[in-house]
Amino acid sequence: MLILGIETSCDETSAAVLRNGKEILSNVILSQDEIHSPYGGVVPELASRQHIKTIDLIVKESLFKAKVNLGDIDLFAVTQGPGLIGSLLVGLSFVKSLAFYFDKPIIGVNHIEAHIEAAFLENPDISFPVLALVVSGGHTSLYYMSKELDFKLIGKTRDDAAGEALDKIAKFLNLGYPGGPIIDRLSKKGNPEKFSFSLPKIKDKSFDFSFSGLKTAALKYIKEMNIQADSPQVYDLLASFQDAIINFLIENVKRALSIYKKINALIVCGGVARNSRLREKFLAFCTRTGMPLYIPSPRLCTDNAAMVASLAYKKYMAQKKFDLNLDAFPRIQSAKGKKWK
Amino acid sequence: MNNKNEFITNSEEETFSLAKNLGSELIGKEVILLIGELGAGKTIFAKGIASGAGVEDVTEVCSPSYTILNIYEGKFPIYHFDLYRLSDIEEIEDLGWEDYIGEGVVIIEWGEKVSFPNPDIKIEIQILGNNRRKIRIFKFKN
Repeated sequence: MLILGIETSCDETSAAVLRNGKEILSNVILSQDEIHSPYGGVVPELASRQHIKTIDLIVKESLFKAKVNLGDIDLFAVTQGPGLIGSLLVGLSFVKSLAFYFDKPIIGVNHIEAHIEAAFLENPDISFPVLALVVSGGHTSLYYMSKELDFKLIGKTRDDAAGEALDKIAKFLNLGYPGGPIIDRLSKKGNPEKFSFSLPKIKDKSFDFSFSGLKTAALKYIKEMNIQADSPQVYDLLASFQDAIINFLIENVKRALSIYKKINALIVCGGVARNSRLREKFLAFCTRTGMPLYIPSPRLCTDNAAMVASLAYKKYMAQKKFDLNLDAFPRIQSAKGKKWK
Repeated sequence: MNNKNEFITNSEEETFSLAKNLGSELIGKEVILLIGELGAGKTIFAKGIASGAGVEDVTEVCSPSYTILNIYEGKFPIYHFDLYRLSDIEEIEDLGWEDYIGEGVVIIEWGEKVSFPNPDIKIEIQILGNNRRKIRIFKFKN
């Protein structure tokens, strides 16, 4: 079975072709990091309109690389949400029209769940139950999975996402965009224990996250000490700030592991899972505790359509039905089990 | 200018409850601009407004910097925009935010990036100290 997946929930336009949900035949991603892509020109920071301009090229490229034709596709997969509504609708409408024309099934998936799927795509034998941390520019969410496709959201951010806090501090210091990778690089020159940050306290027993307090504390240091991009203290500050964010993520995971007993594996995924310090610290934590850790390779951590196609395939095999009336869900599902709004 | 009020808050909780009062007075069609530097507490203020306007679980109210728009269901829909990442007017116009005006309360963080013709309420948050904020609420009669 050939699956075409499409992902347009935020800045990246991506299309992928998978065989049987496992073998990636192509996974084309157009992002701001690839401004000098074959299609040239500047890709604006955001853009439902940009997705409209590029989606057909990206899909053609993914089919070309996979050496298949559109008519060969057996299942169409698309991200339904969460994300920017206009951007989501571009992918949804595009895929719906293809599915309608070729009279083939269409499956919509949750973008955050698809990030977790990226780990299973590379490691099909991960054993359940699994705790999965999705950490990216737009999301910081913790999931408990008792079995395949059983995604239970147990914690999410109450203000900024982890990547967002990193990006905002980078932008404030005029370090450039995207801020996360720049902070990752500059932090290597700094001492992470130089600046102290008190970790956020979540007053109830949830596994929610909060990063705006850390962001405000970093801003306070920057202003009081007049730290600029070229100040000598900037490396220590960034290293300390980055470590505080990662330590808070680890603390929350540690707490979840103590409540949800018998977890067999930890997955850390999403764009910020490319951060080298985060990988290093999570690996150290898991080595110490003997917990198997799975972090997808960098290309599958970023927003991409292969993870969408893979998850859609599993959903389709499980339910064997589909609905052309798919709609976009701009918001994340609430941890308290409320349905999409 | 029809009405201006100035407040000093000393904690996130105080900022939240000030915003909650404002939220409880809304009729459900207002456009509210939130203006203040990074870390001023715009998202906290938005949480307060949402709480006052009947959103039960305010942990759902988080920064829309990445998603640009978050939608919450209170007594009426609340459309929470954040223009932080957007740089030029064309990108902002692409959002189609005017489609939401009149459909519910429209809250816009970093609203100063675009000149909205008729905001109903403008909130300016200024950092005075650690948790101390000066908050000015301007209400306009349209």
